[in-house]
Amino acid sequence: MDSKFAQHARRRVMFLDGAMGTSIFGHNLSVEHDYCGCENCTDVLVRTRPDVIQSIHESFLAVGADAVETDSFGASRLVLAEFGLADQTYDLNKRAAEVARAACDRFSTSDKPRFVIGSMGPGTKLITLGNTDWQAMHESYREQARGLIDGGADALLLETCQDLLQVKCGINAILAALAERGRTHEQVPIMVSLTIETTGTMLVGTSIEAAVAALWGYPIFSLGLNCATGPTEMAEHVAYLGKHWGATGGRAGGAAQRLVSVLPNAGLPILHEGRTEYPLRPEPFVEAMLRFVDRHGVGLVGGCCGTTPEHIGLLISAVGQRPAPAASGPAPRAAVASLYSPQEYRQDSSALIIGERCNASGSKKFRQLLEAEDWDGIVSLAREQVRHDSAHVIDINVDYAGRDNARDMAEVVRRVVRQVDVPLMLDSTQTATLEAGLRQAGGKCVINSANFEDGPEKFDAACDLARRYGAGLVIGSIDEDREASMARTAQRKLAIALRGFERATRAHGLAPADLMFDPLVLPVSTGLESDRRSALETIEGVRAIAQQLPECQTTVGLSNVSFGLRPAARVVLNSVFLHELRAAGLTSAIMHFSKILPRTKIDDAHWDAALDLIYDRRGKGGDAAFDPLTRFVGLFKDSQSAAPVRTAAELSLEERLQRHIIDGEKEGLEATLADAMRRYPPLAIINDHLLAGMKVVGELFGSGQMQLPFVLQSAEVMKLAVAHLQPHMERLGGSAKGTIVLATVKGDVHDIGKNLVDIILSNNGYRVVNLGIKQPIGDIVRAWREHGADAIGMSGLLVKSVTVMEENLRELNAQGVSAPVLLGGGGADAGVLRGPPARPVPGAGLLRPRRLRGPAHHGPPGERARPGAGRRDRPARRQALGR
Amino acid sequence: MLEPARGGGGDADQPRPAQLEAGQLEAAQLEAAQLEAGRLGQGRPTPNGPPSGITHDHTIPTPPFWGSRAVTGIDPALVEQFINKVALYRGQWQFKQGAMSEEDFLAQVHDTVEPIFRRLSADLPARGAVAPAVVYGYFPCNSDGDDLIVWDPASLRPGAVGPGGARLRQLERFTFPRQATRQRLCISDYFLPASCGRPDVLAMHCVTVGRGATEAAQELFRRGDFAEYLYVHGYCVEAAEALAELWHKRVRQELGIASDDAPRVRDLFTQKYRGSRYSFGYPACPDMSDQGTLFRLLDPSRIGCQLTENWQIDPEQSTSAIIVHHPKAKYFAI
Repeated sequence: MDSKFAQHARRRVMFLDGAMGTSIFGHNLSVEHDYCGCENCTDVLVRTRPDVIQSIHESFLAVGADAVETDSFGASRLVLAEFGLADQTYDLNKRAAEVARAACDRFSTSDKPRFVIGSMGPGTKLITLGNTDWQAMHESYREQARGLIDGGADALLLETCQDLLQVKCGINAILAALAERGRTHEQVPIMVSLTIETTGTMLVGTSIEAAVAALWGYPIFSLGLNCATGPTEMAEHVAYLGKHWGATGGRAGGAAQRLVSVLPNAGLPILHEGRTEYPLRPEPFVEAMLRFVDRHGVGLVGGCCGTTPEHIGLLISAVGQRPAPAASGPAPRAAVASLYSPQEYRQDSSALIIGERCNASGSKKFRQLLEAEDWDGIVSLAREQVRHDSAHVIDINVDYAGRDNARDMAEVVRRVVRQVDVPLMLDSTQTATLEAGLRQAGGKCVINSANFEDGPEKFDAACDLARRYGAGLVIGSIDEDREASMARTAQRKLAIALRGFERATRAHGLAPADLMFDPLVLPVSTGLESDRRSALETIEGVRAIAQQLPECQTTVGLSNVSFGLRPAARVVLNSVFLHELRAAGLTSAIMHFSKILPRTKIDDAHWDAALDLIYDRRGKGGDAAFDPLTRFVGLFKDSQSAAPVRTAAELSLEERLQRHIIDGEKEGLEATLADAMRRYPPLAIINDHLLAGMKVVGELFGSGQMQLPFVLQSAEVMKLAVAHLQPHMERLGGSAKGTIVLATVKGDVHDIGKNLVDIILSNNGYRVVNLGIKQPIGDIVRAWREHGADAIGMSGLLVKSVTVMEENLRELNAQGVSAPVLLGGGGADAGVLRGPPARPVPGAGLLRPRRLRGPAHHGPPGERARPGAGRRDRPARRQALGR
Repeated sequence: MLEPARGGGGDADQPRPAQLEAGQLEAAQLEAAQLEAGRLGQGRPTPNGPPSGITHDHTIPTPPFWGSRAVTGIDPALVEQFINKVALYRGQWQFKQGAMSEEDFLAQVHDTVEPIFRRLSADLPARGAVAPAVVYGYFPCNSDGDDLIVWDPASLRPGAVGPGGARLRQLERFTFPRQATRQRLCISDYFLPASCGRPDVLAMHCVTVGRGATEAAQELFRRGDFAEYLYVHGYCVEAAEALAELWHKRVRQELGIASDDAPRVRDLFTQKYRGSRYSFGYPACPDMSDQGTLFRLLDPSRIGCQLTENWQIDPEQSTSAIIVHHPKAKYFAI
């Protein structure tokens, strides 16, 4: 039975209150007495000054608000702990609800009941940013929810949400607290209100589209927006919510109308007299809100920071009595989501491509990265699959004996989720490992997988994870059958899928569109009688599932079909198999997509042979001896085309050393160096091979084929390699081609250009003494003498610094310093050279100052493009880098 | 690097404005004799308006306060929105298209560069490396020929400027150069002349993302995370620039002249708004020593900014400017 609040909200547009915080700051309260010394901890006022809080509630009720939010925005355990008030969490929340209840009771009538909405803010710590973890936040919210429920809240509102993990965690905590009290979310509705910053996304970068996709499956009574901006800036996001969240349906069991709430600030804040003020007057505020109600079907309206009883009163009289909005459109197409953006399950022109390479059981490379705990390497591998394999989703499987899989999963997901903008498929046989990953992923993942091999309990555990963390779920066609748990026939594949569907949707309330059935692919390549029909049965299984469960998704681990064949044969068989599966209705596949060829790239003989194998056409054309497997394997007997790119292992040792540098590849560097040290002394490795790599890097950069960040990555590898080799070298620094003292001159604070020169020189075999910024000439000369340097480099950004350089050159001449001098920086252009003094450099003639191109200095835009800037760049780069 | 200023001012083919204006000295002296207030007349006023022909047909905005204020605790996410991504990606980070196809380059920006930006936008503020702070202010002012006189707001009373009026106390005086040719522009021309008897308003700001930016970058450089060093340094430089852009917008809002602003942030980077913002050392006002004047007026030490002996701001990721509200004011070069 729906709560009275829900019944009213589903009948008519409801009015919430305005600002609590700004209203409190309007009162002159004593930090010592009212705040108990905890300045800005407004939540404590429900105990010390319930009169003030109640009067604020009443000021909004008096102008007609239907509901008020409790003064408990920051009263979660995590926040109160910062004030040393953690042990008061429950009491303060209960009290907050009671104070609001008392205010409401004074105004409630049978026609117009007033409601208490328990406010739960985001706190000061976010999981995605690594400030706290799921467990701590869950405890924190659960205790807050308990207090609010016990104090008589009619609904709970997770507001000002900045991170989807926070929302998911909060909902779970509220559900847990409700369960403890024998209540349900129908009795105490859960409302969620997101904050979209002026940037157009949530704080951690999540778009409104991704948020809707990720939260779609949760029992959320209303989803909306509050804070950060005024109503005008929210318009496009409100429109999206109205159109897509406001739609009916999608939840199993015929969900009721989803409501949309909007509680903006009174405009963007301005600073006045040292205080933040919200400038938007009630009239323009109401005008914008009225549009939301009229056009976008917003059913719950109120205000956030800076909105006064005047704003709310005018809003109520302008909107008046009107029925709750009707469902406005079709549900959004089912989707998963990265932390940032959504990805629909159904692609228009291809299968949903799930990258298979971050898999410890399938990829040796991934396993090695995992063993080395090279997390950056893992992120690179994930990213590479998006870039080169067009992956829409990435499968992550860290199941590897002897390691803490749950920890690994958390480490990998935490990084990948923020750095790679695709949704993740978390792949493990262990519930704990899956859960560790889910607790780090703010978007909407897919869980891979649930099955009945160990009976319904484990299946239920996976379904429960999908429900709690709002994930999609792969259901594999495996059951308890002792003889053949993996379904081999299309019929059994379908039967298990139907059983899984029933249980997942009926018992666990998962949405059909979030279920992804994997009929299981077994190799067709073994020659065993039992495997001959593997591909065929899978195709028919997919066809049957797609027909019977059209709302659901299907997926396969594609390359398993060709296990054991030569690489070239695998490419063809996998490609043809995918083609047939797609025709049968397959919606997604876990695969290495860059190794899939289109029909036009496979010659007919190969294509037909693959079809014969897939459809087990033994005895084709009356030839009883015809065996499609023998025929197919025979076609690729002499094929060398399998590996178009040589793998690292095939390169010579010398090439591998260079590749590490040129590719900026840290992964496997130590192993390569270990190999190299068996053949060469460390010094030769550096001088003959690694520096040769840097030379190529310099040439690539000089010719515009390599971008600066990648040059720097190469330098990072060089530095690592040298650091690795140094302990094995007899003397340090003996390899230096020369020593240079570098400094940014007196009065100048800019050092990026100089530091880039340092990076390039020191990783090309020179020794660099980098003095830093604001260096007087005396210190430069001292360092030059002390280190016996061969050259001096001076840098500075502004024209004034060039004057300093000129003075420095005179001083160097006066002191008889014989070293060549390199000048660099913004002002050091050709014009400088026209002026005095051109320094004679013994033995080298005149050394012309050169500019290494560095990043531009900031300044008013539009003045950036100065004629002539950059015309000397190319030769300069070559000179600095190509040595 | 792009040099923000032309060299020294000593090029023979560009005479100093003072030499050009020699014929007007007499008129200036005449008018100076009529003036009572302070040292009016030092800036070679021109009786028939400035040589640039700039007039003042607009309403002079009223600032929300006079004097200066320090603002901290600015939301880094707001600053992020004003970051010029073209300048950051291509200028600072040096992701350039080079030999790549347009398509490949856009894919690189989408797949590689944008995620770096998002990651830094989340990480740097959380680590305290981007802690935006601003000092800004509004001062009554008037032009006096090529000079711009900044009055003490404390001495401001209705009708208090100009010949015969009650005296305004002069706080500072800028002398801006005038174009020798073309339109013969000079920044001072954008402000009401002292002779008209009422004050104009000069806004200025000094913004910083804080010392944490420099420290975070240095740490990466020391650790050998060179690419990350480039990213963090560049991000913070552009964040400082973004903060200047953001606060310039705030000033326009406070002056009530923001209605001419282009709706898209990226159009603000090409001055699609009323007025202009000039930083010292750039072509319209190349004299860096004016920084000293600005620092005396704003006292940016309140947000941790100091001037070096060469008038650069320390910490590095900081910038300052004067803000001109005149609708005709745009960038120009002397």
